[in-house]
Amino acid sequence: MNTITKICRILVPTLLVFILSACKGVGIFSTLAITEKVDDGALPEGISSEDGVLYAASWTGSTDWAYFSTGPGLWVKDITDRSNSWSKVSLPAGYSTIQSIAASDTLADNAILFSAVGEDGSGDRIVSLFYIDSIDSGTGAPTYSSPIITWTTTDDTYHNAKVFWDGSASFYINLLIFDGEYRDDDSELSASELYSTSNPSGGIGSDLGFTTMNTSSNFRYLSGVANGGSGTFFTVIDEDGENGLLLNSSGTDVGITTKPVTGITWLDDAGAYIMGVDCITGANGAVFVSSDGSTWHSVEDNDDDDSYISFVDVSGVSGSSWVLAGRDICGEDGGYEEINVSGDIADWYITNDYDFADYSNYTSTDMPDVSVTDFTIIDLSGSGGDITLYASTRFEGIFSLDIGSIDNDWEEE
Amino acid sequence: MPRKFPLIAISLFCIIIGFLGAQEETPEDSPFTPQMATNKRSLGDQTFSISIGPIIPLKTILIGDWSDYGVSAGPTQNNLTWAGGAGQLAYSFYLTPDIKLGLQVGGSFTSDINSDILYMIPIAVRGSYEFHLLNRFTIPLHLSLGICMSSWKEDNFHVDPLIRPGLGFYFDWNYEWSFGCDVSYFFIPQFDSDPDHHNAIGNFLDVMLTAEYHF
Repeated sequence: MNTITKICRILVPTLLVFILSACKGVGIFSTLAITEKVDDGALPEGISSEDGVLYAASWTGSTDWAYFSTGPGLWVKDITDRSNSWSKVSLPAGYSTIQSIAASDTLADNAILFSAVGEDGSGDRIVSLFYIDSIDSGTGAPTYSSPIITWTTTDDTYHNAKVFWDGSASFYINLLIFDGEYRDDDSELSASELYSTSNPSGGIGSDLGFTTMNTSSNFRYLSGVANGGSGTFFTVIDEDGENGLLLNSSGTDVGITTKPVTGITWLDDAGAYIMGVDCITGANGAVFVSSDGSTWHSVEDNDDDDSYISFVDVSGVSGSSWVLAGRDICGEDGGYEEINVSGDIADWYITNDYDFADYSNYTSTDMPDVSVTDFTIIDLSGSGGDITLYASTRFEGIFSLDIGSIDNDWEEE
Repeated sequence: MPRKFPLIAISLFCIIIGFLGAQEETPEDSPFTPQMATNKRSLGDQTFSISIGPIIPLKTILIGDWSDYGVSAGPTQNNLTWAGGAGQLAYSFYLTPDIKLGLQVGGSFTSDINSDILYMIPIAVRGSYEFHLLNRFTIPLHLSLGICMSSWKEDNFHVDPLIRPGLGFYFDWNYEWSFGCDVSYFFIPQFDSDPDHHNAIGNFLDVMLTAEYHF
């Protein structure tokens, strides 16, 4: 009996401490009490968008249309009326999946570039690069260019291509070359090449040849590129996703971080670069900001378990002082947090409050439960329309918010 | 036609009483044959029960104002659908012929207006005082004290105190088995939230059909 009593004296308090330390999140009963009914939206259940809502703001041929890719599907919407529905459009003939897609907000023409996977006449897997050549003014259905370039799988080599827009002047294409048969577990990344173009119809040039991205010991993936006030910076991570580098426009490691950052974004209104750390290494809880690319500051966060993968500066359009930081659910929580950017850049902090959108509406949606992969602001105020913020998620589709509306609610597309 | 109902009811009552009386005069060994004085308990007797039934969300009491949403402190809607499901296992032992003490572990689910599920797992020590009537019926009064683990959507998990008074009505089929119904009220103060206006009191009512085994 004494032994049992001793065990209980140790076990019960330990269990209590363990259980209590697991408490997290909002007050459940109070938040339930103010929960609002959220419309499920018209998009199919369970779809993901890794590359966000695409809008080519300066392309006169596309001003009424926005797109997003789910991989096997490309969807289009007439954004002049927020209540319009998304519809699916066909991919280039012979191609089944969009591997990666990006849109320019400054190019005057051919401003949506993507890589697609298909089969050639022999049944071999091919990866090709396309741009949208023109858009049907009535339906938004795109007409695609001929393939800018095609990489064909052989018996011992296959390719993946990821497309980036630097936020200013150029697309970048990171071509990953694998040795081995496609989908074979033993295949290995053998080379990582980087191409760029500011005029997709003119081709993509030659490999930029960054030695930091393709050494014999540690091939690297490009995870982001941003061209801001102090030039272009690239973030790259190694094959295992455990280490990373920040490279300057020459591809030289500037020695800022060895962490695997999820990407880099230039925040126009706040005037800063921002990057977050991937959660797959356990090096979570880090957001870094810099106004010049050389002096970086860590953004204070009360929760070290979060991993931030997407950022959008809403300070310029909402009259607020916030940058929204989308989280990867592989960290502790999904959804997004608000970074207060009202003070000096060295004093920016994650607020852990929700003031940008209606709080009860935000918690009522499924957004807090999933990864927010990207944000897009579409500003039609110049033509008498609304300013709409789109949030793309993994598995819960697209959410949108009319910035400046009275209810300030997120709606599921 | 309406005059027939009292006659039928009185007839049924007489038949049931007669049946029970007859059973008391002819005890048998079969576990499904009612026995004499089946609800006499004593120190050391133990019980194990299994229960299942609906859980009914009552109004939530907000401790602070949600001024941005026009909601003031006090009782307010809970935004849960009116009923969910609940189940429970309980073990007890008798301290006296009328008082028993035990441990109960349960689980329940309730859907909110967006079809997100609120899960609750109450774990409590339960004390009961039992009234034994007509040798065949037991009316227990319960009071449970413990914790309630609540989970809603993927991000939210809380462990809160639980106070749970209740009332039951059981038919003692034989010495081993009793069947009946329990009604209990959940009082769950959730006071560890941040910020403070997230504090609230959850209120629920469950109605359980219970099978209890005595050994």
